[in-house]
Amino acid sequence: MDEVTRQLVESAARGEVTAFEALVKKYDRKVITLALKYTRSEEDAKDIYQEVFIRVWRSLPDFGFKSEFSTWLFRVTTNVCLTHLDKRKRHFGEELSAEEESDGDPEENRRHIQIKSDDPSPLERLKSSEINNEILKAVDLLPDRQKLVFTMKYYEEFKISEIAEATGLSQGTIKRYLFDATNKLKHALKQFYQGV
Amino acid sequence: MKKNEFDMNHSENENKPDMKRKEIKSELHETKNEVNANSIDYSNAANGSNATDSTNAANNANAANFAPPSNEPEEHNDITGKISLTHPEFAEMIFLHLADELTEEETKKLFDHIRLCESCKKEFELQKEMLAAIKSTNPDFAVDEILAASRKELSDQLRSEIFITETSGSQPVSSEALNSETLASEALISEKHSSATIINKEVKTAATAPATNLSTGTSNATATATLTASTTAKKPDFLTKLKNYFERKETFTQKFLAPSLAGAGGLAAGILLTLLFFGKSSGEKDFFFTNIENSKESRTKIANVMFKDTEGNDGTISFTFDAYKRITVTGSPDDPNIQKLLTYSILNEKNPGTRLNSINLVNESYDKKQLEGVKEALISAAKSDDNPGVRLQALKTLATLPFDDDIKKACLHILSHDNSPGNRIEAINTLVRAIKDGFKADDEIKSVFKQRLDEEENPYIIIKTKSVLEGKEM
Repeated sequence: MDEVTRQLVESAARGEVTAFEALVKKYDRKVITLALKYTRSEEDAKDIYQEVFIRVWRSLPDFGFKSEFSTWLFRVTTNVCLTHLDKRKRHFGEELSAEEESDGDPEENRRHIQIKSDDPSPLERLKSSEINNEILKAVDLLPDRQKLVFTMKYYEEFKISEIAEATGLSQGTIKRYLFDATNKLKHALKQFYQGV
Repeated sequence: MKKNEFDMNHSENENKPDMKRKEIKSELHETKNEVNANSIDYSNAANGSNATDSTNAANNANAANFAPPSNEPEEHNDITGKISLTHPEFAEMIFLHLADELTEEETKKLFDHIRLCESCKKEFELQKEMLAAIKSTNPDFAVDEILAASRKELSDQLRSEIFITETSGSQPVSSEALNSETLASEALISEKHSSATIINKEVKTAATAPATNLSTGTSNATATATLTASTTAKKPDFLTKLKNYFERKETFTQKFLAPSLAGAGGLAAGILLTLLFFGKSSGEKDFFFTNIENSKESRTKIANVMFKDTEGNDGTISFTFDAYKRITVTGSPDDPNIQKLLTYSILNEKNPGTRLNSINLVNESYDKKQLEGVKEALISAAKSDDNPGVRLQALKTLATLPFDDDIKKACLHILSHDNSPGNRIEAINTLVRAIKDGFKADDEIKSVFKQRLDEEENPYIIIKTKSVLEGKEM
């Protein structure tokens, strides 16, 4: 950890709000972007942003420099992303799909997706907003953990090693999540690509 | 185009089916071993969570978020089902290649295989096209606006958080909100970004001494400072770039800049702290509170955080805030440090009642000879305080001190310039008492008195002036 960050963390841990503001400024763009990409909701992303940094602020005295600050921050961010979405689902009375509870049954996934296969050309379909909508639906139907890892990889272009660092999971597990997610998307979008 | 991108139009073995089968079988065997070594982990996900388990309590509550999935390894299904039965290793490799996670050697192996295998070639094309479609759905948000709003909300929330914890006393908020270390680090940041500076220090200090308690004084200090903070990197591979950036900067800073910047930060902190309590330049070391043993400080409170420039072109922000804390000081009015506090209160406290109380505390001091440190403040208050009551009380208190030339001059000034007859009367009475006690009515006194005879309207003052000039008061 560089000396400036260390000083800022130490000062913030002692309650220095200005030091904390400086830390926030250094890292918060990545936090808000990930939250936006993951939730696709400005309001949810803002909530996550607040929760992440308030949680970090409160926990800084216990930080102890056992890891990079950025690593810890993104660990908190990924966990808050997951809990936030979970809370929101409970709040709105949405039932977790059987697919989520079992961590991935492609058949269950497909039941939620309205596949449209009328377009004659895959290329044309690919360009259409309709297929984009289907992709977004399919991504939204991924289990939360898979979706977060998927978002980090394909929308935020994290390397697998970086995702592993941020989530605390092994790289093998990350690959497995990504691989499963990709397969689910393939199934969900199956009919669009039958001509390929 | 990725490295070793598969050339779909050339297959060396397309007319050699037997050779093709043998090669595929051989490659599969080799590749399977390699892929397994660097493979997707279908085991318990928690196994990997120990790698960076150095995080803290904030995550403990959420550790379950990344708990292992409960299901068993799945088959590697594809659309047609063929690949899962025949070449699952290559299905994984295709996926890893498209995720830009294969080594050059692995990539070569993959493409060597794809040249020979129509189903894997199809799978490759399918996944590539699908991935491009997925990436095209990357949502686009007005991040800057959202970020600005979020920062403002966070600032407000932090503020309320601090106040809540101040009340509850549960959060270890520092009592040294503007200490030198922080400012030193801010100075480092400012150097890195060539723009962060403490640009506006506006300090108002006040002290209140309860009239009912001789031994206790309470002070309030309010400081306003403006500072800037750095922005974050914007590129996708944030962690790497951030790390590289600071490694690069760190070397230079540690070698050449850190000592001087730390010194600059310390100096800035010193100036700010000095201004915070006395409004004087640093170099004056004897702040009343630095030597007071019986003082008690509350935690610093931050209030009125206002962003001046939330997203400047130079990548910095500026904001102002008020930082204040209550300090309770206990000591005798004879204590020189307490006298400094009282002095400051007499001269600077906004509330005239507080200034008056401060003067009363001085007036009730046990040993008037020890009040030398407050005399100047009393003279200043007696001559120029806005409130006539405060001026009068200051003069009365001065009158209790051993009379000297300074007090004489103050009395003459009041006699000549104060528009309050009561104050002028008190001034001439003080002078007359001093003369009666043996203080010489020198030429300066006589000159002022003569002038007062021409200008004074108050009969009592005229009589008293005349009697002095005629030597009746000698």
